[in-house]
Amino acid sequence: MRNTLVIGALLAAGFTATAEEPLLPKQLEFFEKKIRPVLATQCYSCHSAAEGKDKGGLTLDTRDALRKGGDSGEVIIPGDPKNSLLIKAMHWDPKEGLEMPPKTKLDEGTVADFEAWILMGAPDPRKGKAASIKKVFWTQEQADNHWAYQPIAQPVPPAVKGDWARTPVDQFIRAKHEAAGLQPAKPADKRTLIRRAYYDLIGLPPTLAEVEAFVEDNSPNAFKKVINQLLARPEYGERWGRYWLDIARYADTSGDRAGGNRRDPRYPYAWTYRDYVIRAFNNDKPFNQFIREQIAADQLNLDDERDLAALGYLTVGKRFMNDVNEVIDDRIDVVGKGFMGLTLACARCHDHKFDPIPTADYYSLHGVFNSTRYRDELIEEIDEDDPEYIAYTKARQAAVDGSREYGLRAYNQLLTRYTKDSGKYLFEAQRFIDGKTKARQGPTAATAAGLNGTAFQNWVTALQAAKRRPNRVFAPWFFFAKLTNPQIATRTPAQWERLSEQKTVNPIIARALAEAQPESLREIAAVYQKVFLDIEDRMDGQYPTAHVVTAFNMGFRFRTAADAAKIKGMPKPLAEPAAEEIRRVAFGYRSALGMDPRAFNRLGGNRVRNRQVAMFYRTTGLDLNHPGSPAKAMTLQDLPTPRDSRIFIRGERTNLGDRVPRQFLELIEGGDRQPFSEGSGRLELAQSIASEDNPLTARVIVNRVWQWHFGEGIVRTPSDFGLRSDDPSHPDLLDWLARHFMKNGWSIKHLHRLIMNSAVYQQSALNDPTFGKIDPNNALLYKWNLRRLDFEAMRDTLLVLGDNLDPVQGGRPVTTAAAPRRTVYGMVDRAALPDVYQVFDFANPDMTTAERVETTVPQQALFMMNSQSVLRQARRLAARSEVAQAEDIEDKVRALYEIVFQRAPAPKELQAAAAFVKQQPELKPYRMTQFHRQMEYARKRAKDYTKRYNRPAPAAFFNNIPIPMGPVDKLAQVLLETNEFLYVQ
Amino acid sequence: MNPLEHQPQPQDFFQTRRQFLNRLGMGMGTVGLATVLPGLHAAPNPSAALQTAATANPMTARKPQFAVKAKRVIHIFSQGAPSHLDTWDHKPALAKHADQNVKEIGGVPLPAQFGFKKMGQSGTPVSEVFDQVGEHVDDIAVINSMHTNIPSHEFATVMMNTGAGRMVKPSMGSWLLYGLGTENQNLPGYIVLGNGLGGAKNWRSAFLPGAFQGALIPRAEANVERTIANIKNYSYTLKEQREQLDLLQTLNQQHQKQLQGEADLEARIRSFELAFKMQAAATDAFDFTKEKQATRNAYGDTETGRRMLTARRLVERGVRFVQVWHNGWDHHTALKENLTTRANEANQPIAALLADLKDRGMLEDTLVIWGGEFGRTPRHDRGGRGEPGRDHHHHGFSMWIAGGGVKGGIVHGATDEFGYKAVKDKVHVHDLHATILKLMGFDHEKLTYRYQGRDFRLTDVYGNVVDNLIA
Repeated sequence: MRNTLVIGALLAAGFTATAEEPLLPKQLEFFEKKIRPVLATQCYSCHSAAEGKDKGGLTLDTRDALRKGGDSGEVIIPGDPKNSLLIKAMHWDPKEGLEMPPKTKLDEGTVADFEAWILMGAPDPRKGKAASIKKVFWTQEQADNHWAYQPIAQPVPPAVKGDWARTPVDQFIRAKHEAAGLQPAKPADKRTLIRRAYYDLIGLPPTLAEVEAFVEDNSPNAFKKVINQLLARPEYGERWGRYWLDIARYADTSGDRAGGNRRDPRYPYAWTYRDYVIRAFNNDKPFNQFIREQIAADQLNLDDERDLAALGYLTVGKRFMNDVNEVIDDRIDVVGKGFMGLTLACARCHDHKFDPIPTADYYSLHGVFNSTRYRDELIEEIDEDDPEYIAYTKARQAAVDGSREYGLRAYNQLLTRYTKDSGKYLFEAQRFIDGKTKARQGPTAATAAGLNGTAFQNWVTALQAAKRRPNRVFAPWFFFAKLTNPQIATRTPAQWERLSEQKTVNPIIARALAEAQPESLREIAAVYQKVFLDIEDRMDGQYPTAHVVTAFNMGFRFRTAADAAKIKGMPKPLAEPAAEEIRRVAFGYRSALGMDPRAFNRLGGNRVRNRQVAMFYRTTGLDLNHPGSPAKAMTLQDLPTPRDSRIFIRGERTNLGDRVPRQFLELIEGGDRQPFSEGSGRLELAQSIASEDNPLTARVIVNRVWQWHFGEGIVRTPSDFGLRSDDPSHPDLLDWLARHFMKNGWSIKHLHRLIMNSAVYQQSALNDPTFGKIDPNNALLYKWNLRRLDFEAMRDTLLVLGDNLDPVQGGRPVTTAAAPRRTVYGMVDRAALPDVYQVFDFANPDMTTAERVETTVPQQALFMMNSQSVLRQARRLAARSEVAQAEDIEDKVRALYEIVFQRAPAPKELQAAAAFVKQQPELKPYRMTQFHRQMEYARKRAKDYTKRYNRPAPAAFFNNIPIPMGPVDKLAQVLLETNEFLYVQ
Repeated sequence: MNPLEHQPQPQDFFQTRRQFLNRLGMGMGTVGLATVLPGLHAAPNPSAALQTAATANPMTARKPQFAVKAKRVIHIFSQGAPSHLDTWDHKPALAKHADQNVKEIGGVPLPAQFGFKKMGQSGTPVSEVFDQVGEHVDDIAVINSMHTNIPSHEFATVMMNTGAGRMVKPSMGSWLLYGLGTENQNLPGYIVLGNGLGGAKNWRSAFLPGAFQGALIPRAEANVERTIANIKNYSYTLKEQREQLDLLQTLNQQHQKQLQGEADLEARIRSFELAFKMQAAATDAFDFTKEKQATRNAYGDTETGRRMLTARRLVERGVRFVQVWHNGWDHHTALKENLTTRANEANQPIAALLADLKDRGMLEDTLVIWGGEFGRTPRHDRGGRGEPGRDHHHHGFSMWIAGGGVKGGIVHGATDEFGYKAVKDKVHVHDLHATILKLMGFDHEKLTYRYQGRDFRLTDVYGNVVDNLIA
């Protein structure tokens, strides 16, 4: 090696560098020539304080920094290159998993230089402190002064001019108007106002009669009455519950892939959480109680046992293919953002960059959720005599039994196939082990002998194992395998008989050999085969492996052999000890004939497994859809022994740091906080969040309610109240609302009344160009914000107008494409959201959604113009009696306007619409007959399809059938396409 | 910190919204030609300005952060993990040690199943199975030092497309559509031809607006009705539908009178006109039968050939990102036979695509990407039934990129002697993504989207641009 001389010389002279001693010129030269250039060109780009880069917390541009090391500890041990992490990384040592520099491995000579340098004590002339790089972008002063971290103030509504202000809310709003030189818009007219209130509170349009009644009601509290009526309607919870479901990233599936050996990704009981949320809004459950239940319902005294489903807030998230840490992260995220507007999950890999949340606090919460386990819990009484329930349990048992029977049958059949040829396998495997086959690769040898490579390999492994740990079944085999065929052939009958006397030989094998008196190894193998087949017969063809794998496929998990014995129907040992010995040795789990499950999975076991698993998870379908399936809650329970988590350095689970106690955030509780003491600490966590002293919780929810009313919040980053959040447009109003809200029992309905009875809510949406320049985003609310119907409100309205909305409340999820239920009851499959959901900006069910994006794209227009569902709704609308019975076209137009917009058409509208209808050709009668014929045919085809493939027919069967649209139908569709339909003033 | 730094501010919003209104000044319901919004990246806060503009008006063409050649992407995704050792990464050492157990690779090497030939001026070694693609090797930058995280198909496939295997992240195409918008308002800006493992996860927009997700076209069929939802109306003639839309616009104008200056209403009016035009435009774009017979022959009348041809028709019409799936590269056994079949399906169509793009002068501004999700082992697969094959492998594999600003005729990076592990100029999937974004005019660290308090990007916290790949 080229450096040997140099190092030798340096070491011989006894030169080892310490910090105190000055460097020798030769050491200095070595560093400058061999080390520094490599550090500078290969390392500094990621590890230099001067460059502002410190990947892995490591900088290398000063002596101090190099000696100090990074997140993984010291990187050099002077004098010990072998154990220095730096050297291991440079060697790309697979045990360390570090490959540095990452792009191209250094050549060996360079690494040898570094080894030499470390061996001589890593002499390093570089000066300067180990500069730390700024990792966070906030200062304590900012955190101390941040509005959202301050206690909620008790502001007094400001005095304002004029009589516009009706409520304290208005006083705050008006004060800002005055300061900015804005005038509030005129009050909205009554027709506009009631439509606004209906969509706002229940997500459905009013009927004409309801509008007329309000218009005619001249009492001063007419609107108040409307609000109270709406808040009392069950549709209110369906509307406002859905907002909360966006926060809760609600879905009915786990997001994992279906098929193969995977469990069914559907959640059979997510709907109980959805119904809980709707019920909570309808009952005006105090919001602090709502929070506590969603984090720790299992530890509270509940008035209604169904409220246990509240824990769905934590459990309906993604399952990330059972990655525990991802699941915990998802729960921390939804708790942090949803309740407190804190992006806690940002502190998973490092201290939060923008907020005072150390990564230790993240792992404090990690410990809380890691101290829980998941369980489905019954939340309704079972009526054992209910025929539906009986049918359900029967169907479920049938699925389980069917799966088990199928698995056992198929696996046993599969295994027996190779037992039939076991002599041949035994013989060829032995030849291969002894190096007597031509092929040197197992699979090739198997192919040459006409045997299956996998089964063959399994035999080879089993024989090798038997050789290492001798047993009485194969001991004689190994003995004869060493002999030549002539040696075998010349054995006398007496010699054969004597085998039975040997203690190392299984008596059955001995007897069989004595009877057959084989003349070659091949014939001995045939004797073994005969014995195996006899044993197989005596154990009724029931292979233990088949039972173990069948049970495993049905969710049975075991650690020890004793566990396996617990499997239902596990075959009993054979009575005769000798036979049992053969069964155990040759047919057991992972044996020559019982096979390793991985081996027989390759032999077609995978197909069996996939089918068996699918059969087993029919239970999920039954749990979800069967009318007799009792409701359950998706709950968490605390582990008997809760455990604190250790910090994952850089978020890597293999890189563990300090253990941290389970406790709440320092940011909120201060330095004298106490660790949680009850179980996992979930209840204490819930109480700390739902506390009047928490500066965030009440502010966050009143801001959300404000946002859901006005389209924009007082704080426009509704799930981020941290240092990077937007300043509130009305900070005093926010605090006043939060205080008022808490004082009134955390009542959401109270908040609705307060807001909706304010003048600011009742303004018209008309623009004023002058004010538009002052306040282009209408942040100060000098007018009403035009609101677009979201996907649910749009679809529900189409159903209302077509007069076919099924008003049933709650229950199991439905397919929205098929059932005319409110959209909130539609199945949300987070792995496969229907196109139409995506096109209309439905909430992303993978993460908590505070605000849906609003896009306007042609695909939305295509849906309104061309989709069968809109065409059908237009026909239903035109077929409503008010329209159909109207005599002339003008009356039909009027009737349509009254249904769709709850107003009369303006003269120009009436004229244009009537002219359109008159101009359109009448529908030819044959179109109807043709349509019915085509529909009938498609229905028959769909039925056949379902019968044959056991799944619903594709929509394409119906999608290209022309729906006959008459002139009035066409007009009805145009009205559904208008901006007036989609935008609420 | 300065709150202005990341949050969309009124002035950002106002600026773009005002421009938007100005553009609509052409007249109510006029279909604006694809105009490029200037000045986004010069705004005080470019990320916020982009986010605001792209959300308000997803499809409008936007300028990249800096001027580049590439305007559009065709990503040929050979799913299943093609063997790098039999296509682009020639390792004679495998044959030399064919009967020995080689510790470094954990088994007995399986020699390359095909011959390699130096092709083009550059003399890049090309496997005989890709001889036709090899004709264009001087336009191609082969990357022989790719590596990824996990050798599991679904994870790695989604990883290649979104930069994350398990988490829900927007796809590369969605990011590009977000950054650049699209040049043809009558077609989706991001089209996926053919389907594959992981399904929609590979082209989802995740938390980006839904408008940026890929539109799935499962087969390159000439009839588009079956492929784009609601693209055809079976009840009306176009004339009837036009009459309906005319009435609609009249009624909308009436409504608009009281609500002057509401950009959203204008945009929605416009979207109906776009949708109307899209019906015809989409039908035309997917109708490859309109191509000359000679062109169709060049691509070959196979499913893969039709997909490549359709891809060209789409990018020609201004579609920003087209992904073509070509599945079936998971060759555990009988690699020689199976890989030959797959390569034969791809060889001619890909070569034809490159030639066709070049003929039309489009190769210089179209980035073509070829590759799978990982590579295959230099050793025999241990599964071991029948003819030899290779197992999954993620420490080293090959991909190539061509066209749009790519330095052609080079081989970047290398694996070790046996092709087991990338050792020289390693390129992780994140690095590739960073490079693709750079080729498309974006600093991957600055193409961000603020979601739930965090600025997300395609490369998460990783990625280094490979400058050597860029001309």
